[in-house]
Amino acid sequence: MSLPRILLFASAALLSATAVAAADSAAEGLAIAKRCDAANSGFGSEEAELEMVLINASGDRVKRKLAMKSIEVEDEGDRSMLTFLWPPDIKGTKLLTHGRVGKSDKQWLYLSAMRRVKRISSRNQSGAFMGSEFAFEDLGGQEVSKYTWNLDGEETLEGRAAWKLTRVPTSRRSGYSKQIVWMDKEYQQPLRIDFYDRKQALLKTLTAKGFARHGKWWRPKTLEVVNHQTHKKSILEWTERELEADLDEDEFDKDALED
Amino acid sequence: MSGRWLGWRSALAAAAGLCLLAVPAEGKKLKVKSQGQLSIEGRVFQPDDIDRTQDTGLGLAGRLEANARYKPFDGQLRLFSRVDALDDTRNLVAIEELYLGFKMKPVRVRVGYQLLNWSATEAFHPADMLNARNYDSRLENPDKLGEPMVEVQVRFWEGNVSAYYMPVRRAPILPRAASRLSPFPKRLDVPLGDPLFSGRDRQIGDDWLEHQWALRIEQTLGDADLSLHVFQHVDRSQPTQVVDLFTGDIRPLFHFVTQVGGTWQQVFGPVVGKLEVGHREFGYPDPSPRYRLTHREMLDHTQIAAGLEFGWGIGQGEGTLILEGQAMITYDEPKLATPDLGPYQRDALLGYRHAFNDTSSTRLQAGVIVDLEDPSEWMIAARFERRLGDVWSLEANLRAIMAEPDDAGAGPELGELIAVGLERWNNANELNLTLSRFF
Repeated sequence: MSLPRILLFASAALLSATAVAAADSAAEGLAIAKRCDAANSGFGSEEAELEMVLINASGDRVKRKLAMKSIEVEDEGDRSMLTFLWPPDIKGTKLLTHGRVGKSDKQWLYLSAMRRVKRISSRNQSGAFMGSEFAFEDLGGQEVSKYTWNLDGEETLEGRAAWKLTRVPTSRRSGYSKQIVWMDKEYQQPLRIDFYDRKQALLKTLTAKGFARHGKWWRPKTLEVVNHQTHKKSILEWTERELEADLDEDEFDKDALED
Repeated sequence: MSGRWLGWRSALAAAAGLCLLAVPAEGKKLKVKSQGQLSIEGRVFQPDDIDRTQDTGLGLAGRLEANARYKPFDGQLRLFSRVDALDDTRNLVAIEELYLGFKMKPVRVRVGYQLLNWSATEAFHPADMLNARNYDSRLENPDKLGEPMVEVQVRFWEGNVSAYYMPVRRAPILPRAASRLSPFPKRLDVPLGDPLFSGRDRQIGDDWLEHQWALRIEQTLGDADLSLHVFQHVDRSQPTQVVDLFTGDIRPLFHFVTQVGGTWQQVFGPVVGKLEVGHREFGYPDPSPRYRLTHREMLDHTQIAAGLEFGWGIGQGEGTLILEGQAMITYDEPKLATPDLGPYQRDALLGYRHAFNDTSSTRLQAGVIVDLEDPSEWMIAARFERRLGDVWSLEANLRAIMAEPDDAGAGPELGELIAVGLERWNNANELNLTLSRFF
């Protein structure tokens, strides 16, 4: 076999091996994402109170409080009700979301001061949530199908074994080009996520801390997001949390906004 | 004025009711919440040349809200009061909500004063007619007053059906002659008397009892929210005027009306489409020996408003473009000629709202409303809101109106008499600032 032929053969073999490896890592990434999603599902419903601290580049702090309840719905996306508790000028404002698989979520906003229920479009997912470094899409349903997945390898983060995954949002409306996720092998929850903006620049890093077991599910106590471009920081802390809460679907009807 | 202070006595009764609810019972969980705000309100109008009108206002306003839940019961109280140092005709104590409720799936019952909001559109509200309003507040969307009622709501399918019985005719708060927001002629020294009502029996009087009812069905069908309503009540937004032959006063007369209508809201990707309709048939009063009816009559009409909202992300904020239009369709006359309290007849709104989504929840909203029958008549309104720290907030509103009545050179007095729609507020240009402390 002549040298050019050997080189051609070797190149083809390398390309094919790379393609196979890429397909393998995509399949493995998707399998891990599905496994983690299954492990985190089945809690039925959840009720929680949260505090969010917003810290600007100078270190000034602003506090927000909210109550959240959610319920899993079979064959559909989860439903959630968010009630703003602080600051007091927006106390009583509520956001109701009916998640849908493969479609935009249904959303209603309840403006407490006007006693008005308003239908809103859920298309703007990249906007800031309550002026924080969290975007609406960071806090919404994290269905596996919202991303394409790839397993990049395994790493140890802060002493914990984790899968390193790259996920790319399938929605054109996402504010991110990709996210690098360190998924804890035991908790089956992200320990850290690096978010890259549409220009492929590192935008922010989310770190989950204080994992605790609620029944058979692991959940973090705090989520901290640092924006590398603005140097602002937001910390979301669960002050109360109950999984398998005593909630039923009626509490997530549009009518329930006025209760 | 008596209606305003009737509210105060009822508020005390409500507070007593809430206290009773607050008595803890063994094995049950009582939840009591309260909140409120104190505001300094200032408003300045572009000066006119009429001595009796008041161009400035400086008031201290407060809103108190309390809610008690003791399943399956609940109670709600919401009061608003204002004292104005420069314009005492704006002083008031108003009940916005004061009810006791009972809820056991799928039924909800509420008895007392309620604020209902049946609106789908932003600027025009043909379906949202049940509450009386304070017409000496915001011209664009006057504040509502609580309406005494019994409500029974039953949830079914993807929504509910609600029935309302409203035995009391609650008068709206009308701007006094000194107010720049008065829809009545300001240059003519004609005393404006207390409101009169024409009831189901077509008799004119000021009795406060009347059988009024409403029925409303709401359903969510996929991406659409639909509602249909029918009600019979004494309208509080479109008075005609009568001369009281005993006193010589001009008195606003509110008419009994049957309304059918509905709303529709649907999401199409980033766009929300809206439609709001109300068809009204009035019961015109029988002749009265005491009250002489003016030449203007209420005409049965259909009011239709439609709109689109288009939202998109801008950085961390959100912009929303609002386009709305409204038409009044009459059947007996070519043009509606009622001296209603609202500024809109056949108009279009082009507006923009920007939510900065920052830590101060800064919002900016601006829009122009143009009279489609006479594009030289328009109103521009802008609003700026920003939180200052955690518990303070600042709101600024600016409004300019250009709607010259066609007085054919006969003078402004005649102009005021023949003014219709937005013309009655021509040059009522206003800047108001509100600084609020929430607690």
